[in-house]
Amino acid sequence: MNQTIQDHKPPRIPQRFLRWYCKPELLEDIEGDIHEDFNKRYTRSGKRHAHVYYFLDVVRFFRPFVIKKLFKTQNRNVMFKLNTTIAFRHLAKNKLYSFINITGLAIGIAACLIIAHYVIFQLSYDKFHDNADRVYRVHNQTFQNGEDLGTGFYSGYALGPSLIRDVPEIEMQSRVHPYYGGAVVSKVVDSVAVTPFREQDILFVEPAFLQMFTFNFIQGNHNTALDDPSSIVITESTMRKYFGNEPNVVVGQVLKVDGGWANGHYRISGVVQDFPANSHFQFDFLLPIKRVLMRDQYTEEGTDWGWTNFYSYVMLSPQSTEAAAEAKMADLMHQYIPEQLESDGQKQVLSLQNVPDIHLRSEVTGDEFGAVGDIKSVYFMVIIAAFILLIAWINFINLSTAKATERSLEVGIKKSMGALRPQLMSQFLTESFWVNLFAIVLAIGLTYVFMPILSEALGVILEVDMTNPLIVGALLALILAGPVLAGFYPALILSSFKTVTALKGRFVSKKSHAFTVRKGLVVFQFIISTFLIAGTFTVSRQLNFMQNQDTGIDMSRTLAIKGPDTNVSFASFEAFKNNMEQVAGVEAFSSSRSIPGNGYNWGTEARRSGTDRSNNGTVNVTWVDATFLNTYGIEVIAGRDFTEAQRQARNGMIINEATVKAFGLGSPENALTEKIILSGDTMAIRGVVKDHNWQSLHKAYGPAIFLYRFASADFFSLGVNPQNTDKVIKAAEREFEAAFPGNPIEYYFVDDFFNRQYQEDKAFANIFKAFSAFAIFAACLGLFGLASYSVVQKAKEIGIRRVLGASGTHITILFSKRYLILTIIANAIAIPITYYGIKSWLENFAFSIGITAELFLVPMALLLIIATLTISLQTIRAAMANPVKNLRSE
Amino acid sequence: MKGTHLGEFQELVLLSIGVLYPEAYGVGIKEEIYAKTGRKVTLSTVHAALNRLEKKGLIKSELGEATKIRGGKRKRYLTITAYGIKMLSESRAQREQFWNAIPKVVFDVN
Repeated sequence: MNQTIQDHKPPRIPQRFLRWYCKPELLEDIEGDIHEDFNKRYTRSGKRHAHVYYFLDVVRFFRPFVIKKLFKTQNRNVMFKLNTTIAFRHLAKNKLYSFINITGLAIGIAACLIIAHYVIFQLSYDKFHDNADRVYRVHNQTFQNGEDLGTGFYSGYALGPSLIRDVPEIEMQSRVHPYYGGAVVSKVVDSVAVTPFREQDILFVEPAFLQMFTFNFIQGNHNTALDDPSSIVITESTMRKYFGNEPNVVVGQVLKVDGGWANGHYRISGVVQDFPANSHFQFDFLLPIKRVLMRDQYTEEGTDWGWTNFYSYVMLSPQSTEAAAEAKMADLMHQYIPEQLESDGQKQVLSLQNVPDIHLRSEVTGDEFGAVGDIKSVYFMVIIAAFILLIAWINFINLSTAKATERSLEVGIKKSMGALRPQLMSQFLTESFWVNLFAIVLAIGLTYVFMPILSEALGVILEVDMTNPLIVGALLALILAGPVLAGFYPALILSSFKTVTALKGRFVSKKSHAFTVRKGLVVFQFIISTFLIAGTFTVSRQLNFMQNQDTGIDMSRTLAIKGPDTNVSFASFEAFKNNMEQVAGVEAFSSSRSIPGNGYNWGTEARRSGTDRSNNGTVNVTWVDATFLNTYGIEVIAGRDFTEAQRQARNGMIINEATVKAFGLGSPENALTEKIILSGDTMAIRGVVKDHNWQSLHKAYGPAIFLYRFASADFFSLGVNPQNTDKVIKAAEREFEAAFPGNPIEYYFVDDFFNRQYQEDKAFANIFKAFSAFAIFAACLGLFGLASYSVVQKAKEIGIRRVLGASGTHITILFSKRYLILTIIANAIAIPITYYGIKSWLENFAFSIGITAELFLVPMALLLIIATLTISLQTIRAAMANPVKNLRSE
Repeated sequence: MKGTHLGEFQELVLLSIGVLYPEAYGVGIKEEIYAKTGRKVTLSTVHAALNRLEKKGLIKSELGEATKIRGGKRKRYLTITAYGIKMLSESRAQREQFWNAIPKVVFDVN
């Protein structure tokens, strides 16, 4: 039988594994036996079988009596305990050093944890819907004469139903119509409306909306809640607001909604849990869309695509893909309204965006509803987190190696007693492990403390959640990798001392790379610090600039009152107006459909009279009365302001300079002779106003038109004499209640209102401030470590210099100089990076502070001062010390 | 009796070594046990037992010739030591004692 057995090559990996773990004295026998068996199996049962059993045999031999000792030390636990004791003693001995080291690391880790929470939150948007992966929002991209005008999501009400008809992939759709302008909602008790509140977040939706998105009904029926046109669904918090904290069943109760779109009484048919904060839309009330579709505005002929007040969500059937549905819907609008689009020179391309992507990757070019995130800012935060952790670790490395000076004797003695280098390294790694562990524990505590503060700065309410798998994973990784990553280099340096030189105390040779490495690390930290300080400086300068820039509108002395939402008679409006004008301190009164910072009323198309439709451009329209421009101090540079008149057409339009330019009307004076066709109506130009910032300074001046409206109930603006502010507000509250009973008053100074647009910028500035403060702190710690290291090392040199007559100042300068050079080098490297960063950030603003030398010089000077102070702390102390003490210590 | 106790499997291995004399080695013992008892044992089990027996001083080993089917590795030939023989015969004697003590009537049951 032996003759028939051939020799075959065994599998390599198991063989190598066996050779790795097996005791050398047993290897030959065992390997031979396995090999023999392998060959026999090969012949008998084939290659696969033999290979599998070879592997199994190797694994089976992985037994205590076969495995060689993989580690040199006899008892790991005892050594670990001993090293731990030494580490604790060392930490307790150098309290300041331990404190700096642990808190530095802890703050870094805490910052990372907080950022991790923020990032996880940002990435979690809209994922809580059961069908999130197949619910999409419909977008439309507009091309005018081939030019991309951007992507939006508003469409006419005909779009939704036609999608269901023409695109078989779409299983459900729901149009949504926001309750533009808000409404006053009150509870009806015994046929009397009580507890009125002004509400903004009201949506008209279709019954399918409740199926596509995931709602948790606390009361009412999920399937039929919006079937009845007079039903209303409210959220839990809304229920508490209207019915108190311990409400009974509220289904069946009646709410009265007053606001202009679909006034009337609605019977509550369901209460749903509030949406979590990580949803791209929020609502307090859901109304059936049937109600708003009943309005004349939407039932007249030819309004089906014209009134683009709707947007649509669709749910695809489980098997179909986004691409397949998009292919069928792309030119859908051209099938329904080809002539209109043709004559406008427009092309409309419909597309879909998955709902969870909307928050961070919105395809929409214009405004989204609600605060929208940006995937870039998430990346930015991740990079910041990485930097912070890096800085913290660098500090740890710097401080640990700097402390090497004090430990050379310990290392020397240990080595002379026969300690091996790996043993010494394991000692220092154990120390690093404990420092890291303490830091992580402290960091978790700090996270709980700082999360509320930072979540306010970030503008999102974040709860600390230490059970999130990502956070747990990150913490485990930090515990395992941190000590090694941060502790390896110091351990290497500390254990590398030559026994004799270490004992002699001359532990660092001139050629040592340690110093250069640490210099490099400090430079790196200061580059990041410079970048962050310059960033903070720029961001706060820009923010300041935006809030104080002359917008061309006088806002500081103007008090705006949000008009009543209920229908008001002209008489009560007039009464309010007349009474307010009588109040001492009110210098002007104006009513308008919108105010600065609130956006325009109407975006539409316009062209110069005498040109054809393909010259249409978009303009934004706002309706104001005759005193508006005066109240807001908007300067008329040509023509006249509106005059009091009942009819609107005769008063013409007032345009801004940007409109003059956009439609090629020549000089402002010349423009007065031209006419503009606004959405089909030819109108005379009555006046030209100076360009002004109607919207935030992110946006450039665009064509904007004021139209005349004798009286509006949307906003009342009062020019107020600053001395009488309180009296005016009191009078306004009184008169408002008298003229529009049942309407809660809401007022603000227009400059405050306008600056609300910068909330996100403020949040960004706050983040920057917090992190740059950390970076400076950390960088200073690093520098402090380096300086103290050097001072201790040069104690004798300092002593000799002192004895020979050098002054304290002289020595301080001598020793501070080289570190200042480090910071200057760091600054030099940081400038181009910072320049690029600042430039790309400022591009977000149409109006920005330019890039000036100041933006770099101030942060650099600041950093130099801080660095000097940090270094001086060490050098001055050394210079002032009694030289005898230093010289004697041998 | 601690330390001298011979496990059942160890005894089997020891007996196989005797049977295969003078060419007892790992794979051979494994196959011998399979042939005689039908028990499929793994190489590692055999080696573990051999390791034990050698530590107890019941067997001794020396390296033999290398063959091709062993990948050029030498065999470790095992022989029973005098102490091993003593242990085996003691174990056998003990069993004999038990056997002889069983009343005849027990065997008549069948």
